[in-house]
Amino acid sequence: MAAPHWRPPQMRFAAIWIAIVGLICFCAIVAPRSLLPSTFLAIIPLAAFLAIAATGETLVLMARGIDLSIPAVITLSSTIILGFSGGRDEAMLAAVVGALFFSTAIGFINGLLVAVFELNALIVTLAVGAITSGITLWYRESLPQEARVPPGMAAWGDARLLDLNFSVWIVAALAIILNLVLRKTAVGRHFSAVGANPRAAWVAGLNVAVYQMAAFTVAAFLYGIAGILVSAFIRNPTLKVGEPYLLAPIAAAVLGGTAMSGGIGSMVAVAGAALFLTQLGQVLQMLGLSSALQFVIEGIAIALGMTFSRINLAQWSGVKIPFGATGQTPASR
Amino acid sequence: MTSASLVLSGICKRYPGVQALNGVDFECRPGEIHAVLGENGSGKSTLLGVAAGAVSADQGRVRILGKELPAADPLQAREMGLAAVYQDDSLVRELSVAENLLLGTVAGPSTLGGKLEWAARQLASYDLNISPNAIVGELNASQRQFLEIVKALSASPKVLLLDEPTSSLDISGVEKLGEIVRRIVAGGAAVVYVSHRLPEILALANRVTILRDGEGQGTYEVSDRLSENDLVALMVGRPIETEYPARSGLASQEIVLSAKGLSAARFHGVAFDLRRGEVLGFAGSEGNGQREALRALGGLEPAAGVVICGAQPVKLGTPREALDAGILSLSADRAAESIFSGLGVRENMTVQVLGHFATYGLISASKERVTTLSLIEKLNIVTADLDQPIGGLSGGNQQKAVLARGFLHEAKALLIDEPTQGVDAKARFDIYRAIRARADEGLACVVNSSDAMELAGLCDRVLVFSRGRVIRELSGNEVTEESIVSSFLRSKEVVAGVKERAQASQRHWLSAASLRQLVAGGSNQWWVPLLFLLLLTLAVGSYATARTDAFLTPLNIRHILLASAPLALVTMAQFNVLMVRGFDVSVGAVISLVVVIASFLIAEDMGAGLILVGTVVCVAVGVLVGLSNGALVRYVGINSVITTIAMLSFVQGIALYLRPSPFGVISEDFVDFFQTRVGFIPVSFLIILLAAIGGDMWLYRTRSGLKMRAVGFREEAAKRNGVRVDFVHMRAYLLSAVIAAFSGLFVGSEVGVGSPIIGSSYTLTSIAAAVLGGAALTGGRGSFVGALLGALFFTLTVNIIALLALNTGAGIMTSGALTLFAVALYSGLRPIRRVFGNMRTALGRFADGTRTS
Repeated sequence: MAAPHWRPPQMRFAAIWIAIVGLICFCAIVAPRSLLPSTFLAIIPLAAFLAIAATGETLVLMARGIDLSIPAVITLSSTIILGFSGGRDEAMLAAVVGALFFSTAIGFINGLLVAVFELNALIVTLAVGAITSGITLWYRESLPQEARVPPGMAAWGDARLLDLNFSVWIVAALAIILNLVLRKTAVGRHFSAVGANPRAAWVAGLNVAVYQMAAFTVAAFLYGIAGILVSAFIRNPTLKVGEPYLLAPIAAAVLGGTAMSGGIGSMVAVAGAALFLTQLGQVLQMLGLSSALQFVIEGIAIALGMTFSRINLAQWSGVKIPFGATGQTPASR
Repeated sequence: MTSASLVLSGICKRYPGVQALNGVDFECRPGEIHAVLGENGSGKSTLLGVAAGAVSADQGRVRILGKELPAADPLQAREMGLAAVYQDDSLVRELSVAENLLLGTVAGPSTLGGKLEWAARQLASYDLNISPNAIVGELNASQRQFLEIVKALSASPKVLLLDEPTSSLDISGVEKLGEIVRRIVAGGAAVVYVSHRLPEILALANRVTILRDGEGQGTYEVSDRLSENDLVALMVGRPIETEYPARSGLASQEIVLSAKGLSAARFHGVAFDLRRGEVLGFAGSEGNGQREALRALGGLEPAAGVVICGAQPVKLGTPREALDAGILSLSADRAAESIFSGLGVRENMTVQVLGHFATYGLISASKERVTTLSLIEKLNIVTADLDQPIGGLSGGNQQKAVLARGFLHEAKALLIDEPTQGVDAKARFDIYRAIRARADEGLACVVNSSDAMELAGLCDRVLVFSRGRVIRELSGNEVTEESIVSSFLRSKEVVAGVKERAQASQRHWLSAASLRQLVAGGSNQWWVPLLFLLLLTLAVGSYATARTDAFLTPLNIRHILLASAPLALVTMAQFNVLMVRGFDVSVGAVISLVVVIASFLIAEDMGAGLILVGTVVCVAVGVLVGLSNGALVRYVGINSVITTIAMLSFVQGIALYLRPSPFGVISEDFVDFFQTRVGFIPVSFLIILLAAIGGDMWLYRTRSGLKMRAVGFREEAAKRNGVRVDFVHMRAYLLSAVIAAFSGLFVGSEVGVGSPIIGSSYTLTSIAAAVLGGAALTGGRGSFVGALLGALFFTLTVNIIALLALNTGAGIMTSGALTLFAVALYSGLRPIRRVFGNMRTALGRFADGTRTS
């Protein structure tokens, strides 16, 4: 084992960067305009919002769950920003804290129901999402129709560092920190183990339910941040602000090489996938094609990404890995 | 020779790392009971599997009644007149005795009408005292074993294979089985009988064939001259292929691990004291409680009794508590309970000791590397790279990497279940050496192994288990392969107390827990959820009637029935997939797409012919979606949630592409057709009701419906009974999408305009309504009528909220809350009870802590 310490990059995470290069070549041919710096700077905040939602979804997928409450949580977070601040700068901090607190609480409830009470993640997150939407709708009706975020927040939403929007830097920092936690701390490594094989993690003495619960909770905290950043960016968010974030984060997570069998994911690759999907939507629009095709492409991307990773998996393991029901804890026997 | 019923010639079978069978010849004549005898792992089960067509041999031929079995195919072997009885794993425990009998044969009534009488006749001829109506899960192990045999016999086979048929029988059961077997051979059939129990074999068999390490050791007539000693001598004594590390013999007197009165369902009163540096073996033939006892010591299975590690009493029941007390256990089920297949070798080795490498919470890669590399060298682990996914390593290297955890962790006792299963000879030696090295460092080890020679070579002391009890303790010079094997083979002990336990479960049946089960989904009575739902509907309806006069009017009822039609259909669609443990998240998008297509093809002022064409196109969309979903789930192997989410995105995208916003008017004639009514009841609702009743007739009264339920409950068992599982799944996804397309036509007739996202709200509601109607997410349960009633209840709730002019948000919240309520109710209260149980014990410990301090 005296071989030099060099590892080939993991193919599952490298694939998305290759795809991005391919997309850039494609854009250069069919719509060179989409590669102008001005266009790029206009879409990159959108990519950042998707990236942060996808990062949360990736955490949940790594813990073998699935989270369909993202649109509801983002809308809740953004509505709280409007309501708590009342458009006043001095109440901005309270609004941010409130938005993050309630978003995280929703994730905690999801996690509790899935990890501790062993209910199905798909149904729990859809149902909790519906309840959250109902509450948000009721709360929004008490606010003025034309509610806006505080001017300070709006200014911040426009602020740039080295030509890049602030939110882009925040998302980049979050992705790197999360990757570091996942790879370099005991908590992160245990989290991977719980996702990769919850039963074996239980046998190894790990508290499986706590890690699974943490996945949903941290994910919802991230959706809360996304809600704040989006609100600051568009200034007068409506109840539809969360809508694009139901399926796109799953597509980004799959394209970013996240394993549905749990445990394996790279936040940096997922951020790359968010950029890929956003640029793809931009090109379609520039080519005069309906934005609806974005959904079609996301659907195909999820199916192809999954198929590809299944084949990859089968190649090195030689076994068919069965997928269990999502979000089941091993201690249930 | 040609008259033999079953002939196997020159059978070879290799599994990774082990030659299971090597040129074995075997024959069984009509009217003969032919026993196959051998140690654990000698190839008996593989031989039986080859004969039954369940295992494909690498070489050799199988002839059944003179005809050659062309390929390894259990169905074909069955058609040729062979039946195999394994231990009770081909029964679907959630189904009744009669249903299981029907599932297993092609005989019997074709519709399930006469199934009870038919099943009762089958059972009566063996005098078994099993009711055909009983649910198989409620039978005891010995009744299930007999049911397996009756099931096999109902096809009147000419060759019967029995695999360890007496392992779960008590003394009267063993006698009864002997009786049945003698009766079968008297009728001219041939019986192959695999067993570990010499006394039984000598009493029953005509001839016996002995296997050792996959090779035949000859066939002998059973006579007075053939003694148990002769047979044991033939079975043991395979050449020693690996050298065992020398025992140090320096065991200290310090006791590290001791157990007293350790008991659970599969073992009783296990007690031992284990000293520092000692290796203790658990021996016994498969299924005698030795494995369960070891697992209980490590907290992997619940048990009662006292275990002390160091000076500390160990709380039984979780591996975490055992580890805290210093007991580390390594499971025999490597893939399921030991390795993290997708993670690297390094991560697999260090998962329990990451704290060692951390400074300020950050793991030092170099420290971890150094430690990992030194262990890789010490244990001879062959891997390309420290971060190679462990799933790609050979079994031996995986096992060594797992064993490394025992070197890293500061445990006092190490429990290893089957240390060398699926491991090649070279790696086996490394593993023995490693275990002995750890013992010499002062660790106390317990090893459970089905390989007696391994135990003889490795252990200082061996406990021999039979029927859940320690029947012998061997130490010093007594620890030899021969003494181990002969102690468990010659045991005449049989399962005791089966009757007591049956009574205990009878009492349980009348307890509060069973009452809950009856109400909340665990019930096998299909009508229970329906009754519950009807009562709920009545309650909500009376509340609404009391609150507003507008509720109970023919107009409003008609409105509710009309509005419930599409939801009822899509719920029935979803139910198909839920039955087979899947989800169909794409149903909502299919509805949207069908509505959009209808706005183009079933538009205003079109003739009846064109409307028909449009309808056909809509249904064809359903067919395409369903087939694609099914193929992705079954043949590519993507899970159903992700598959149908991808499909949802795709189909929704097409709908939005065709109609970016609501536009296009759907034909009046078409709309009127759906709104026809008799009195105040819409005809469409009546048709759907009839369809639901028809669906339930199919599901509960026909053989094809029975197969679907069996697949939902227990896919593996269904497969063993010859059900075409892939077909059943494909049909479920197909039906789901096609019925969703019909639902789309209803929605279209209701809105009358091509609205591209109209269907999205139906996805969650369809799952929730189906679950309320009794469908279980674990598959197999529920009914179409239940789905319909669930949908009706949802529509009713929404209607009442609108009538009472509650907030719009309240409607959405209610549907979410109802969904949670439904899943929580029907998934049972077990997790809830467990959570509160844990809280109680935690509080108790806290109280203990405050008292002592």
